[in-house]
Amino acid sequence: MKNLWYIAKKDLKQIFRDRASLIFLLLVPLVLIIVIGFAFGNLFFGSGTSQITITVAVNNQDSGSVGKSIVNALHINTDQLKITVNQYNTPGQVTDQVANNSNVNAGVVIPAGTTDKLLSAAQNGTIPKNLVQFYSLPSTNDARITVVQNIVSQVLSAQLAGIEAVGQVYSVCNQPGNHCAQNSINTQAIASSVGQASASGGPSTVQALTAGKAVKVSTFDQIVPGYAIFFALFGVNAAAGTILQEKEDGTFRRLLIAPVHKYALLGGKLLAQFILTLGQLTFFFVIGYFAFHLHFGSLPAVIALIIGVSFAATGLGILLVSAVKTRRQLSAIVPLVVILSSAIGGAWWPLFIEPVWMQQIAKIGITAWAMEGLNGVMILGKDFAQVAPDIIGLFAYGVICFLIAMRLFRFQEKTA
Amino acid sequence: MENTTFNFSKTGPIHMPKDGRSELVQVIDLIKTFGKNEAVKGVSFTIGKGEIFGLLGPNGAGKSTTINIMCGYLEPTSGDTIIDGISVTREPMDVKSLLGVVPQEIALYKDFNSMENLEFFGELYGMSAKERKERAEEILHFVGLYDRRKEPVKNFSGGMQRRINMAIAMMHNPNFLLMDEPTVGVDPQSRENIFDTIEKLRDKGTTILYTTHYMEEAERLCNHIAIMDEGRIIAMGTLEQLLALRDQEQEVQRPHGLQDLFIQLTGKTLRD
Repeated sequence: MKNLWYIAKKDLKQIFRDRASLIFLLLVPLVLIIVIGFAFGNLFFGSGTSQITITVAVNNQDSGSVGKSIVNALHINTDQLKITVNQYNTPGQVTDQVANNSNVNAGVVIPAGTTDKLLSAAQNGTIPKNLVQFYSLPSTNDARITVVQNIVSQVLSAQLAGIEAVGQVYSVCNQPGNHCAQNSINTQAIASSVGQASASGGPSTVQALTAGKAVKVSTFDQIVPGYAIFFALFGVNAAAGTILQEKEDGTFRRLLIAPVHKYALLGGKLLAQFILTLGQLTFFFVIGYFAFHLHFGSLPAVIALIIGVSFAATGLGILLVSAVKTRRQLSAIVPLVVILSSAIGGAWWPLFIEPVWMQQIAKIGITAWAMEGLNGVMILGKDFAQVAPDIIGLFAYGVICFLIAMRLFRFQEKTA
Repeated sequence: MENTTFNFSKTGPIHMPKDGRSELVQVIDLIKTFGKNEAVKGVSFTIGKGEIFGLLGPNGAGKSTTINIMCGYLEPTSGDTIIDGISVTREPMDVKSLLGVVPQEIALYKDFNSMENLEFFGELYGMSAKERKERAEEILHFVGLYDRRKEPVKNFSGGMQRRINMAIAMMHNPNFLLMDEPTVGVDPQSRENIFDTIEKLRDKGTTILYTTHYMEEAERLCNHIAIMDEGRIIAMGTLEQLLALRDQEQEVQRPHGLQDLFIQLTGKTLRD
């Protein structure tokens, strides 16, 4: 066991003495995390809080109550939702904003006489169609457009309810024996007040409550673990790769000639790989916690996932080393494996935004198991038990890699 | 050694006759095959305590494979090596502490300095921190590199790296050193330094197996010499015995030197 530790210690000393490797393993990822984290600050999770922000371009030509009600209803600023209404003079300006201004999510045009059309339709007992025009980019599936559309529809429904109420008043006045003085019924006022009551009554009848803790997610909760794992997997080249380097340099043979058991030799190498990966990941998560206020959620789950990733990366390292013959071959294959598994495994964007079939394919790499677990704990608020399958998956991944590697690994070349 | 016999027929192993020497190493009928290739075909010899035993042969003769089996790096297909009464195949860990190997290639951690290289291998041989430091300094004095002990070995010349390569094998003070072409690619000064080191080791009683392509090295250093070709030992004895050799049956002319004998025995065909 002592020799196992001496070999691990020697390998770590070699790695830490190689400044170029250290810069690549620690400094480069840190710089990337900072740059990408700030550059894409709002990409995945808004501005770092759960508030949804929407901008709407509006052209209101209606002088009646309907136009005003729609514009008023769109002015919302709560913890959950903020709608900014930009008013324009012509419908053309609205469509131009929707088409060309990426900050504008939707456009609403309220033509002149919308209120009158609504009233006359109500008096005739018909339901008016296409009163208000709603604009959005074609083929968009932005949920914020639906929010705006629902608000406009809700206002129009409320106005229709008010007008229906006016109809009922007229019908009561016209019944035999009843008498309403001429011009005593202000149709627009009744419709408007009933409509407002209808529109505003809904929210106040529902009590909004919360359960559990609010999760304040930032882009760093995705970027830090993603890039930490991405670069930790590159560490395979630095640590497990020393086995191939030592074989090429002749020192591996020298170690085998010394009174060192073969599995102490290999174990020492793997221990160095495990410690390096664990150290690297811990470094990024600690920096992330203090510098970027990472939200860990269940700390034991995060720790278990980090240990699982380190174990699986060590297994992957020995598997790759067993499958190739030279350091140069390893240097070619590691980036291929790491970039592919990181791209589909959720290192660069949240795994849960990928299609389900891609999430399943991604499970052939370490990254998907790790990011599913870390996204679950850090972003979706899952607990230890809920990410236990990912933790087990990582350890199983490592064990499978070890078993295959043991079949392939050669201590000596099969030639003279 | 009056009864030493030679066999040029290249069939079957040659056994050194008992000559009253105190034997440290016995190589017994070693055979090693790699797939269909039989690299070592029944090699046997003995090495007396304190001797320098030269193992000569052209490229591909089987010298390095023989050394690799003797030090426990390779398992023989059959046969065994006994070092100081301990079987290499049966008790490899016990034997490994008794021997040191100077590999043909320079096998060092080049980012480390010479002290770090020596101390690391000292750790593997179970030496205490104090023992490691004292022994490493002693050896660095021995090979003339003490003053540069803190310099990374990657900054050293080829000759200096060869000397550190040898120093590592001596770190745990082994009884038996296997030196596989330790002077390849070094300048005359470094070679002379290596010879001096080997002679000092011999004077201290260390037993050495020495392989080389340079006949003058074998002539200068070795008490006994074996010539290998195609996986077999084809001649063996002291330098004088080899030079006095006449094969009665084949009427081989007396060679003028070891180089002459070597070419007579192994032929002029290139062995790449």
